Amino acid sequence: MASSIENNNEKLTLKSSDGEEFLVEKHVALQSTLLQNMLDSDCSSADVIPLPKIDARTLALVLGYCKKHADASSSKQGELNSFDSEFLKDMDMGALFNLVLAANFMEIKGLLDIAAQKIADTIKDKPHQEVREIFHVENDYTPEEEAAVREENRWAFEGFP
Amino acid sequence: MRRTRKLSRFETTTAVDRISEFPDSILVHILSLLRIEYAVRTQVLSKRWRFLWTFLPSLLFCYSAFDDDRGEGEDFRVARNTDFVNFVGKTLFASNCKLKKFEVDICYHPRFASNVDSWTRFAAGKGVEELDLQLCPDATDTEYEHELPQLLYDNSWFKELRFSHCSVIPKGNVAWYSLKKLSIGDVELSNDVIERILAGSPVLETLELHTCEGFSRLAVTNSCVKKLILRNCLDFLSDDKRLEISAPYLLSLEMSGYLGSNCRFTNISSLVDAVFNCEFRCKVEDRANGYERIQNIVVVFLASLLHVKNLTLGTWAIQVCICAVLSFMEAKGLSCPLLNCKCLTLDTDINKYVLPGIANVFKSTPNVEALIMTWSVSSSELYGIRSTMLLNYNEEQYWTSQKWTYKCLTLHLKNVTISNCLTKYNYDSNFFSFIQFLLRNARVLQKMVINTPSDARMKEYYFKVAKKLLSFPRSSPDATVIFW
Repeated sequence: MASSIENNNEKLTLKSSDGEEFLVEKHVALQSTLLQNMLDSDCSSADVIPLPKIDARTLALVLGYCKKHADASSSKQGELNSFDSEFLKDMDMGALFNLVLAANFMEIKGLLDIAAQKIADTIKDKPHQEVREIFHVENDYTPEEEAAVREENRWAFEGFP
Repeated sequence: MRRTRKLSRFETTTAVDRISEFPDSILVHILSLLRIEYAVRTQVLSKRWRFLWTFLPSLLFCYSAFDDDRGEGEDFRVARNTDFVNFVGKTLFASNCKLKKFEVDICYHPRFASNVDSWTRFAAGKGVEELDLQLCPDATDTEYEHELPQLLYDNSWFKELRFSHCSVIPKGNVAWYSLKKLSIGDVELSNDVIERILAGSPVLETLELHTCEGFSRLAVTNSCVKKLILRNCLDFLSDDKRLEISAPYLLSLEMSGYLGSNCRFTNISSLVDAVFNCEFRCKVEDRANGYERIQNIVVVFLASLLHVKNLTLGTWAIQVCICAVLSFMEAKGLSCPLLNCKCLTLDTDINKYVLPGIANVFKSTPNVEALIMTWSVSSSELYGIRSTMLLNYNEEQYWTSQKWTYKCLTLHLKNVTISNCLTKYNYDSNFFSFIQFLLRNARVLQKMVINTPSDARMKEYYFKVAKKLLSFPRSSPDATVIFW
């Protein structure tokens, strides 16, 4: 028991793709399954852990999320929910995409879920031309191919331009 | 304003198609959060998106019948319904991965029988773990029932099954060796079928039956079954029909919906949690006899719950306790059974029509340490109670006029929680009188927690309530009132 309390106070260092170092409490880092696995397998916490795919701005956001969730007790679910919805509010698509990729790489399920939900909410109820514009998706279908694809699943497109 | 927003997006993303570079797993995850129509629709975005939706592990189809006519008549409705059925089949058969869940809720017609059969066969062949078939018929005046294919009864992949409006008639043995949850609704079940299902589901944990008829015995001897939910399963109006339940390992029981007939428990000795939130059912012309019958049923029911630790009573059950204690039982020399429950949940409004009931419930539960007040939609009122003579009293003075010493209040009640219903009680004097009564009489109270869901518009209201509640005298020196 005593050792686990000691462990809780341990810190480790994460290094972003652009070279910035973040000192993180261990219990905050454990929100990430990736880091958890690294710590479980004799990876010393004295080492600096490089995260070559995550820039400093994104990593700061990710760690803010992890800290909030690690520190909150389970009885405060309502508070966490409102934190989550505020967290992504007004975030631009670029930052949101970086966050999704970081959450996916670091295996932080809760963060991946809310970020993916935000993207899904952007897609739903919108005609595909608009979705293409928002995400800069390049349409590589010929008009004939596109019409054929639509016809294949007519029901899904009912009432949609 | 618009200009600045566009600029900032341009700065961080430039016009690169980053989303299409996401790994498949992330894109499928995003699609899984969309309704199936939207997910399938993304295939026109670009060739990258063409087949992504075929990797969705869960396929959920729900037909909304409410707008299916759109004022265009029967033919249009039938065509639309058929289109939907075709869409389900096409989407399902295009699946490229192991299926975890297949759920379909359609307006059923016998002409779709072979479609439904082929879906369930396909899903079962894909190793589906959760199967949910809601086959409500598309015309109310005719009874179309889909017969479940026999091959479904022998499947060790299933972990959760939900069926409604189908006929469940296994010809051989049932073999659902991985099944944890089973929910059956609007199905005629015989004692034999239930026995075979239970015998073939050795790891079943939760059994839910709603609006099922045709059986009189429920012997749940499987040691894994911990939870039983019965909704609208005792909706008969005759005394000779009754349900006998034996479930020696059961920990949790929920009864709701219409109650019109007797239920006898031969063994529920392990039961810890019980929810009793039913609605009264009797013939209109027979209301007086009906009440007496229903009181009888409730007394018998409560008598089998003496050992239950956590008990939840709905408005209806509390109201029955008014009649039961005040008229029927006193007249017959019966006393309300003394319940041993430690945690009591009252799922009800607090108004003139339940106050004597609440008082009687307190009398019958001398050991309660925790009281939880909720008020859910399912908690319905006893029909006709408003006209009974029993309620001819002044509710303002109800609690102050109580001469009875409630054992639970003087000796045991330590925690009170007012859960998520403060706004519903709407600054009502009955609510305040009740809380005042509790604070004045609960001598060992430690904590009263009042849940206040965060809502900026309600702040002023909460403040007003808090100010009033904090002014009430408390008989317990340790009592704290917390707004959470």
